Amino acid sequence: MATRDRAAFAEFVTARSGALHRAAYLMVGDVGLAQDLVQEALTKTYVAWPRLRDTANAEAYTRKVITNTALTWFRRKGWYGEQPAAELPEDTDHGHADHVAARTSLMDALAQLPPRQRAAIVLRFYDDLTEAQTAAAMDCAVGTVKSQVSAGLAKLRALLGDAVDLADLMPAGGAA
Amino acid sequence: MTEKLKTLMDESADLQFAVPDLDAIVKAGDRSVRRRRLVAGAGGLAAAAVVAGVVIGVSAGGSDRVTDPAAGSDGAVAEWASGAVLHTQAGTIDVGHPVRAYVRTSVGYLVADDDGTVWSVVAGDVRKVGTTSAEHAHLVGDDDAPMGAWVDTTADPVGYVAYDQAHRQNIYLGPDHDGKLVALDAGQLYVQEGRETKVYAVDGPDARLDPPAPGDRLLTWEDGVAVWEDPGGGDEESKYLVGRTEMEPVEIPQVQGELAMLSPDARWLTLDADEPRVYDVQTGAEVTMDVGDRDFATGYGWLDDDTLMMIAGKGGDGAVELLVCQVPSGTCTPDPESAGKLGTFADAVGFALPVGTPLGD
Repeated sequence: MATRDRAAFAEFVTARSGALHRAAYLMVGDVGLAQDLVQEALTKTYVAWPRLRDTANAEAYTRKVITNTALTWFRRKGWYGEQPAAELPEDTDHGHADHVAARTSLMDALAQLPPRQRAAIVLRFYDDLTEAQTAAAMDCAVGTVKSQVSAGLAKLRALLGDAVDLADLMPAGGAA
Repeated sequence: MTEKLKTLMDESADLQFAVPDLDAIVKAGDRSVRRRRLVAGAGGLAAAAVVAGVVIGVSAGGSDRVTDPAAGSDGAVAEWASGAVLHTQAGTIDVGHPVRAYVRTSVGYLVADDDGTVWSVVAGDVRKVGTTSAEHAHLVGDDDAPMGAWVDTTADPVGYVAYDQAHRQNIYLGPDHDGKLVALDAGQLYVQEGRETKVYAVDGPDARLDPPAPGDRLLTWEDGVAVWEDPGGGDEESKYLVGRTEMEPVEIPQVQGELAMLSPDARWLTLDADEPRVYDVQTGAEVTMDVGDRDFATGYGWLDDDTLMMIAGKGGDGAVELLVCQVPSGTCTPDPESAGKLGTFADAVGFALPVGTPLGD
């Protein structure tokens, strides 16, 4: 294992696991599953570590594994449409009640999106990835990302109504 | 307003998550690396020759014996090689050369030794038939025909060569374009070159490939049934499909290990994963395999239409075990002959499985 720098990997885990957990949670809607997902993805990242060379590559690789593993889990276990919409354990936000309602509505709505639309929305608007980076994470074409995001936003708008303002995220011409 | 969705997602995900268990990650990762190195080999298990049909070998006692594994899988034993000795259904065969990689054909074996020399082994007759990469030997065999193939490094230009054991004849099929040998079946050699699958006709009709479609990635081919990855595109996800020309393909769950082996009758499919993955090709239903408390097991070859050999282990660096499993009952029995002779996943060296590639590369 001489080519696996454990210290560098540990540093990467410490620095990025929080963000990775949050994105994974938004993709699967369950804290425990998100933790399992990240743990599994980090294991694969550790295996691939010698060829990833730097932290940016490692993070992109881990996001790709998280995304594809989540999609595989959805497909294999039929989670879509069966998951609890929102679990908010140990909530650190003490904001306004309508904020809580809006967040709950968002998690409800995300849970109703097809897995690939949900992943595309999270990668584009939570992780702030470009369309090309999102396509790489999802192992698909940029055109697929565009269509998944467009369809996902349209469905979110239909589900959330006025709870969230998505106006300037929608493509020109409206409903996608 | 762009921030609104982002902000809401930030707030929704602002939760306390457990710190990843770094020790568990490293242990699992190291274990995975060791297993991959041992099991996957240079070309993976995809090129595994299924091992059905009549076996002709020379036993340790020197007498030729003929057995039909399909006649009684109850007494089946796992196939493996150690040093220069092949352990077969019919007993052991000393081929006289260290076995680095080997495959089965309908009448015998093709063996690559440590120097890359390719040997044909039929009923005690061992003869040199070619040369391949010593470091990255990769052979494929046809369980239904006396034929195998490899990339011959002494051919000019370096290219795909098949060997007909019945006629003791080499057939040059074409130059190698850094392709991966996928399967040899019914006189056709299937090679994956990038995203393109090439088919070379050894004899008989012109080569054809249908399915899969152009752009798909062929994983294996047996008895007219193909397993391939459809990369998707547009709104479609990538997926594994299994089928033949005249039947609607069946989707099979994808696994991280992307390698596949069909049973000789192409009824069952095993995929290379850390846990057993066996599927009914006709329905796509997964077959539950009982491997006991082993936390790693993956198929490496079919002894007959419903007998699968698996390599397995438990406890991370535990002993390498070979199992003989029945499909679809899912019952597995440890192979007694190899027990205790294959080392552990941490130090296993010096043996080969009939998958066409060296272990541990």
